[in-house]
Amino acid sequence: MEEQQIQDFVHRVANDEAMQRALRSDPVSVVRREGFSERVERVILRLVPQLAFAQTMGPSEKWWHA
Amino acid sequence: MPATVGLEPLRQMLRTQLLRYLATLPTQLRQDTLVALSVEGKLLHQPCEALDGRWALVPFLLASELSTTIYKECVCSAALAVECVLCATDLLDDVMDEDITPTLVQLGTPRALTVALALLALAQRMLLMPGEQDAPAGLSTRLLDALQDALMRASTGQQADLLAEERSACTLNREECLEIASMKAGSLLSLACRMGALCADVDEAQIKQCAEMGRLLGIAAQLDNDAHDLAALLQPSPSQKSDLRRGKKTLPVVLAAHALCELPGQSALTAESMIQQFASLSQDERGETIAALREGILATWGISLLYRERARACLNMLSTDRTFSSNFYHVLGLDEPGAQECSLFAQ
Repeated sequence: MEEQQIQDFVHRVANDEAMQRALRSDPVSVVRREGFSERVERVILRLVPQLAFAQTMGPSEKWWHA
Repeated sequence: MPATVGLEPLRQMLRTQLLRYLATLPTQLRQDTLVALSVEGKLLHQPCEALDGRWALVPFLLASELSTTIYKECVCSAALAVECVLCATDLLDDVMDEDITPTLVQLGTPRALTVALALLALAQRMLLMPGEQDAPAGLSTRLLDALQDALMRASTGQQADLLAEERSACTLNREECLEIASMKAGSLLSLACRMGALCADVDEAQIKQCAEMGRLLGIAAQLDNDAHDLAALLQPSPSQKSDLRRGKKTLPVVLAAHALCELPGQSALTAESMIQQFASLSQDERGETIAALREGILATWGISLLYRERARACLNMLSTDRTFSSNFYHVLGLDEPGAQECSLFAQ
């Protein structure tokens, strides 16, 4: 299930400094190795700046309270 | 030229029509209703911003994109009914969450609730007004049925959300949070898209596809909102939304609580307490909680992006024999095809 894959990947990276380093140096290879669908790959790659570089998230879509 | 510039004539036409409907209300009730429909994001907001009236624009644009022969009066009424329903549910949501909003400050809770009730009645009245004579038979009934179905789902979701506040975050799981998001935000955006498709008189399969696209986008929006609200806690000057004060079990809170529960010496009770009391924790106490919150926030944001991807897939299926306009993508909050690669890693 794609939701579970994303949740598990975030959990693993959050608790594994070696994975964080690997993501910083070569994110595409790290993510490809996981064998995710193209869709999940795209999502995970969007999260790399936050997962590996501790950047803040992109702006909110503000749909609900817009 | 910004994509939204082309939306202004449509927005103006919808505004004019909405004011005509509002003119049928008694003076005092009309004035209060105007207050609610004029706040940021609503169709009557001035000065107008790029996405004001978005809830009315979605069904109108979708109908226009799906068919060249739309029933303009019917789709206009449907679009305005969605605007009124969303304004009403926003008011009800704000009252239940005890939020302090400009409308609630100006009107007070009892008058705001009266406006919500009037808006729900007005939405139904709009759908029952006779539209074009050659409009498909039974269209009004189908639109009304869609509206009532969405409201019932949203009410069920709201009830589940309120009941979840009484449970420990660690007893909830991702699926339950997603189901609540689907019933609340998902059902309302699904309604906006279903209304547009019904007015375009497309086949049942396309109506379902549009409704599903809306449901997925609604879930994505709710998760995005929840992730960003919780992320505000981690800012140098934390702002605590009412959701956290009330003990609302949004997905990032639930995931963060589960992450904290896994740590040695933590229980469900202490995990939840550390999240709720985060703003008042000392710097030393914050360490583990920050890591858990970041994990919950990022996983939620990732799942939000996943639902956007799924919504895009629905839109792609609808666009096999047509090209959707920039305005439509913009109003939906989706990148146009070809712009996706550019937005990768975008901040």
